[in-house]
Amino acid sequence: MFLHCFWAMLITGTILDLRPAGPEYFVLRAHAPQVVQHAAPGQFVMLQGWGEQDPLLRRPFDFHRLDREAGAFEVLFKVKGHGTAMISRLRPGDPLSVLGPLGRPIPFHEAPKAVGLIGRGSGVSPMFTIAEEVRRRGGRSYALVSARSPDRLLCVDELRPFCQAVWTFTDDAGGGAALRQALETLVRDEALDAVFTCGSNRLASLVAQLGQEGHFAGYAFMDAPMACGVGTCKGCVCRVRRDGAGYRYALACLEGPVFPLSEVLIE
Amino acid sequence: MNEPDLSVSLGRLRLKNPVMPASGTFNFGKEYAEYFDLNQMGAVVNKSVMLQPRQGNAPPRIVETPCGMLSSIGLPSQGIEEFLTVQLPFMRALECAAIVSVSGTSAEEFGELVSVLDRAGGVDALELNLSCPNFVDKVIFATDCGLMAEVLQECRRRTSLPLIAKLSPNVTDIVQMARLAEKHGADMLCAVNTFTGMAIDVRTRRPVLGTVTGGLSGPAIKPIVLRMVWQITQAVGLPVIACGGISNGTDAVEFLLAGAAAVQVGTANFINPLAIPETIAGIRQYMLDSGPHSVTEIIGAAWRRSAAGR
Ligand SMILES: Cc1cc2nc3c(=O)[nH]c(=O)nc-3n(C[C@H](O)[C@H](O)[C@H](O)COP(=O)(O)OP(=O)(O)OC[C@H]3O[C@@H](n4cnc5c(N)ncnc54)[C@H](O)[C@@H]3O)c2cc1C
Ligand SMILES: Cc1cc2nc3c(=O)[nH]c(=O)nc-3n(C[C@H](O)[C@H](O)[C@H](O)COP(=O)(O)O)c2cc1C
Ligand code: FES
Repeated sequence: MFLHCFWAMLITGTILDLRPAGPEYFVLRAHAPQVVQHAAPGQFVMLQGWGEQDPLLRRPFDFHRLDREAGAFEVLFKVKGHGTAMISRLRPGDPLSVLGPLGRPIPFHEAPKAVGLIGRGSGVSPMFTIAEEVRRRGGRSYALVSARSPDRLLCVDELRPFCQAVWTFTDDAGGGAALRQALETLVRDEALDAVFTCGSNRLASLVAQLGQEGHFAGYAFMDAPMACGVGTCKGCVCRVRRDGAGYRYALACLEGPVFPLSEVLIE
Repeated sequence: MNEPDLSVSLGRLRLKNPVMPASGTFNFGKEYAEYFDLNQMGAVVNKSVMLQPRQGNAPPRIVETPCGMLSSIGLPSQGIEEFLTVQLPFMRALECAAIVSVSGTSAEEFGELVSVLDRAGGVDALELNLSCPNFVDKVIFATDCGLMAEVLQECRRRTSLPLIAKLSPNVTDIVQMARLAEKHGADMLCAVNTFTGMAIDVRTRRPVLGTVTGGLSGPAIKPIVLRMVWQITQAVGLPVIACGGISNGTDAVEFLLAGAAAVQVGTANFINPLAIPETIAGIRQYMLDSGPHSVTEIIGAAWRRSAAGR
């Protein structure tokens, strides 16, 4: 009845490291053991790296890495506006207010055989924890990394040790069509259990379409504007198909942020 | 040191302290129970419940603005039936007053909700959300003297529970609306709901919110709401619950000094799930540092200073 995360906490963590990961992209590593302890792939955090009331709201980010031994997590983000610019200027040792882990963990198949991971831009970020988890469960991951230009292809070397194969696609080299072809081949040749996609509605629609024809479960990370992250503001809705007809609104922070593509409407 | 007395009386409604959540920013409490002991609050207030289940507005529903946010949620609701079996029992079980916020699309709908909740038992007061700016047809009861009077009369007729009229700031003269609410049977006022506003995306050249306009809340509105509370409390005898941008103890004390008998913490809960307990602790600390023994003695203290000259 009540969907919410029982392990979510509000803590003040500490920045351990903040490094550039490409033009406009950064990886932030923070010490927040209480949050990391209960976090799982597919979940996210709401961060606040400033004390005053402007910017007002926390900023949501997917977990990029979960390092339980070190009690640390990483997020990979793009500097988009005021909030992410402020976070990119933090320094090791600075305090960071962390609310999380939030959202629903990915419902992994107990023994996944093979999964596809498709990320565009900073949408590659959550694929790393998924690849790690799939490997831990004895499965194989195939990553398709997409970006506008070669310098925006993120995490490729980081993903390799955890994936069976990593392919890259850039817009300047006709990436859209090539990615479609690569995914079709992958679906045909490998018995994929699931395909995860983040960072592009176009790619999510593609996976939804192939999922209907194929036999894998497609999932998309949805990003809706969020104020609270815990289900109280009712602001973060996505349209989800209803059993009968039509659709209902689902809160991305409670039911998501990862939704089955057989249910969620990509708009 | 003497522990300060934070209890307040709003007419017949006694609260152990003057701090409660603003409707629609706290669901009915469940989500925040993991972060602090909800029994600390003066009262719990649910997201306005409607008679029938509703989906709410099309996204995008929220957009951030400087020191504030615009929202157009559109009152999604589980409907009164589920409210009575799930949400109300949770609220009732807390060791604080249970204030039930209701919203309707007509005077009859408000009246029906009030009757049902009057019979339900365990409700300490009813807050009438007369001021949601985001119904699709954009009727704001509390901006129309005739409509507001009609809803209040209908509700008053159906219950003897304390009625809180939640006012809209989207009017020319808020004092006039406060007087009208007093005349038609409100026991208390809640000032205020959100300010109608909008945002446009310059890249797409389109309004950001799915419903074009939404309600502005958060620290950005605090000075305006403070002025409204200051004016209302000096003109009208009813207890006023202040609501608008209150994020901490200092904000709360400012509103008490302006004449509010209690305060609601709204948008601040989204950023800081501990905003309510921190606000209570902040008031207590203020009392310890510089206040009299009872918080009731600082209510409206700023008018007296202002009247006495500097
Ligand atoms: C569940 C979730 C996970 C996310 N994970 C990542 C991630 O791992 N890496 C990453 O780079 N980005 C991620 N995003 C997007 C990221 O939150 C926004 O880019 C960021 O909030 C922008 O803040 P800003 O102040 O820099 O930009 P501004 O444009 O100035 O922000 C203004 C307001 O709009 C909101 N906003 C702007 N863009 C988005 C967006 N795409 N989604 C939701 N809200 C937005 C902001 O939170 C803020 O309230 C995620 C979003 C969600 C909902
Ligand atoms: C997301 C959101 C949802 C709200 N929902 C309701 C509601 O259901 N009923 C109501 O009376 N007021 C609602 N409000 C208004 C608040 O209760 C409050 O009056 C307003 O936000 C101003 O206070 P604040 O600045 O502290 O948030 C809502 C406000 C927000 C931001
Ligand atoms: S972000 Fe507030 S309900 Fe989802």
